[in-house]
Amino acid sequence: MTGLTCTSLISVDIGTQHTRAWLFEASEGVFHITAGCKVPSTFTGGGDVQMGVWNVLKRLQVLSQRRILDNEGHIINNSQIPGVEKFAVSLSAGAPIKTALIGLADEASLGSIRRLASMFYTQESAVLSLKDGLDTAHQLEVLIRADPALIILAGGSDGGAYQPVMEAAENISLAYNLLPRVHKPQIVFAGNSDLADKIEYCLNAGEDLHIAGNIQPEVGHEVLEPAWGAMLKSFEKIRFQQMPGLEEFLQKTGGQLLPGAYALGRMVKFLNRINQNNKGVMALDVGAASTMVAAAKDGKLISSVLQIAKSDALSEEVSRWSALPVDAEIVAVYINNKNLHPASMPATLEDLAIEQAWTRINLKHALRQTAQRYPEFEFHPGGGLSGAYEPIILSGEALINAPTLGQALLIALDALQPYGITTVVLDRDQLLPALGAAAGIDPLLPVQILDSGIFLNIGTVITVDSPAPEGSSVLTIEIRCGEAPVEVCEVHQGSLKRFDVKLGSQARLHLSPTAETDVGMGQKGLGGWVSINGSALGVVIDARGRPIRLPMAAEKRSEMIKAWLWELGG
Amino acid sequence: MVEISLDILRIRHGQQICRSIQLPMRGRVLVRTGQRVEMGDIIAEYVLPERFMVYNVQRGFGLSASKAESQVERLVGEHVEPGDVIAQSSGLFARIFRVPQEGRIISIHGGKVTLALGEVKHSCRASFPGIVVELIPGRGAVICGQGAILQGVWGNGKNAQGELIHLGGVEAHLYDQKDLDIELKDKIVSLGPCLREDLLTTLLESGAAGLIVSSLAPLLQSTGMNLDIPLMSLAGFGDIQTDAYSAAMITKMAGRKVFLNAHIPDSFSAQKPEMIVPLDEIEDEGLFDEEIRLHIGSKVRLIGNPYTGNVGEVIELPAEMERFASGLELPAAVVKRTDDQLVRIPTSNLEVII
Repeated sequence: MTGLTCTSLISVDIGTQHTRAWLFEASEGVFHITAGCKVPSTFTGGGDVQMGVWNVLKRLQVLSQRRILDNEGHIINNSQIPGVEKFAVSLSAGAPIKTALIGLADEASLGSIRRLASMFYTQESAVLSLKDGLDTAHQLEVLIRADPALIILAGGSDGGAYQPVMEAAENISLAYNLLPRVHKPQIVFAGNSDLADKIEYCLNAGEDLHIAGNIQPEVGHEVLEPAWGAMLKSFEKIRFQQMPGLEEFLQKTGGQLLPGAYALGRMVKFLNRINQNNKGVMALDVGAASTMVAAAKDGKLISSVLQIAKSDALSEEVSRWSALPVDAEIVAVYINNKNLHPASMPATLEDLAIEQAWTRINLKHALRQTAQRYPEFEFHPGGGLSGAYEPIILSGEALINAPTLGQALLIALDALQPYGITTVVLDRDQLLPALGAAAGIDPLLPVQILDSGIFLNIGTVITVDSPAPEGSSVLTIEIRCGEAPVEVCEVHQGSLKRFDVKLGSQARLHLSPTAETDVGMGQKGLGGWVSINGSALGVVIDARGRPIRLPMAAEKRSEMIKAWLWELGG
Repeated sequence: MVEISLDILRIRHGQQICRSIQLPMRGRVLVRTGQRVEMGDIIAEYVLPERFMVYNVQRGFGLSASKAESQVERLVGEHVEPGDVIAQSSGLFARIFRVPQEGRIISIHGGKVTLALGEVKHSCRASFPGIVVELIPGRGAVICGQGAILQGVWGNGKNAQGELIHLGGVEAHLYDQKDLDIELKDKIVSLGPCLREDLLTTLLESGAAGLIVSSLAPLLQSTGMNLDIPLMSLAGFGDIQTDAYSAAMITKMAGRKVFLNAHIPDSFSAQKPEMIVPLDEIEDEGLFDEEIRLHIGSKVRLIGNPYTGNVGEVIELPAEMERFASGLELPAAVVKRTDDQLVRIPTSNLEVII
């Protein structure tokens, strides 16, 4: 008896650019990765999702020598597959879902609805606060104009207020029946549980209505988990309507569909649970069309998926963070053309510098938006992270495609400006969402796969936070690594330094910060011994200050960023 | 074979052109199969109320909700005309609720009557002349015609028809109305890069029906979106001259009546802005494209520095990935440009021209 629910599982992750698939197989009660591969996605242009899935499974079949497709190349119904028992599917592709949020008040229910919606790649097309006292006619006009694919209604603690919620439900019912949508909107009710039956009767929306648990069962107490099931059902239905072939594929395989950000969040929450370091865990995925932020601390999940930043002011900001001096106008040309051809890749150094600067800004934008949605998220647009997260997992095309690990790390450090001591790892194969989807079928699978070391450890980052003036000594560090001579080094304010600690080796560091310097050991001036594992880039000491300040002159800025890159190996 | 997601660009003479013209909502299809339609003909339409109005009978009459509803003289779903009585109280000083505008009663509940008043029609129209070959129930139809097609990569969502006139490339930097000694009124004007707002203004003042530019300054994107006439950029943003294939098409079609549909590009539907020129002759009878692959001999347009907007033909598809100046290792193609220069470029930076 192995305790496993199956012995073989394929997890497919459908992204905007690529569809990926992994075959996991168990031997002697332990899962391992038999094969994994990726092909271009095929849903754009109204194409059938199944084409991409079929292509990826064909390749997986060759790589794994396992029969997945029948003689005509069709996916074999999973009940007939001798070896592959289960399918899991995560989906991060698709346009954001136009969503109307309706709650009792801004701070309470609307804030909770926003957080609930944020991991399902939604785009607010209407926000109605019932405390605004909007009349019925106005509410109807707003809903009709917004043409939402999804309506989320919440409000009222259990046993609490019901009149405004019921009035809103009546208006939703009118809009639901009046809007001549090709597909009726999906409605999620996540408010006062006592009203569930009345809401069901009032809306009369059949399978388009999804009753969830109350996300605010008591005043000031938020629990989003009871609404996830209803959100998943509505997400699945909307994506089935939008993506030809998706429903058929899931029916053929018996697969379970999860949004990419949800699957990522599930894994981050799990990693936080098994983490013994009293820190949070964070994963950042910068994709072609969206950025996913997932963080978990003390068991609480923060998760959001945001569209790539677009604004006229963006070019200036991107230009400031470019490793080569480029005008904002050139940046604007690059960004606008990249929006037209999202799969294009930078072939020149200048294009790469713009692309990476844009990735920094996209990450910052996503982190800022996440902090706005989740006040408890310890990120401040000015000073970066103020809470400790370890590990920080990087993923997404923009980061895994960086020509060097130093470039990927610097992008993350500049955007995040982490706090204390952390390890930054790279999910090169973008496996986390696939594991998150598989976890719903067999929770042991991700545990065992994570144990096998799927991430590339980029480096250990020690952030030195000090008010000391530029150039003054803020930290003395002693490095003991195996038989190598003990290395002692002074770290000065404003610097970024790196020490090699090779993969597979271990090192002990002694940190001696100055009295006013915080290195994340609990309080200012407190240092001590730290044990670290070797990594691709070793130990990086980031004493650049918070917030990181760039010179005004473009040439000097560029020199500074290049110097940082040089320190991180180019 | 190189496995990449292909960016397809259509620059083609004498072919079947079929486009699905659909409403975003459910409505009524107004054409029939086999019918000939002209540009601007309504294919389908749906109707939404212009506004909503709520009569609070309970409050107005000072009654309980159930009593108030008994005073309502109409039923849910009923059509109402201006002046129709919705509810009236009895007594010496009777109060009457009358309908101000034609509409429909959509709800009587809780002592309130909700009306949907007026109507706003939304329609989808044929964007080029052709024959209705298929009806899409409740949504629209598939229209087919034959002719030439020239696609761009960015548009402002408008459409128009008119005679095509080509102002040339660099020499088209005419910023003053008096320098435009050609009559542009009601014409679809094609020119090189449009990098200054005063050029746009001059062209607008000339009364042009639509604009095709080889490229657009990024700062003019929002101005372009707000124009009342269609604007299509062939190659995107920046200073990009018209490529040889597009230029040849424009030169050949100059003087003809063309239909400019400057669709806003949408990667999810693969909809691109395009100019359609109806022609009698047909070279390609196929209604559907064959599976398009990047192969040796493919005509391509190049994306990204330093070759943005160049065109040529693929002469080699190396099996191994190649390292580019950016440091990235990517699948590559060797392209012979129209000036016979050979360039190596990532396959992801190619638009395949068909």
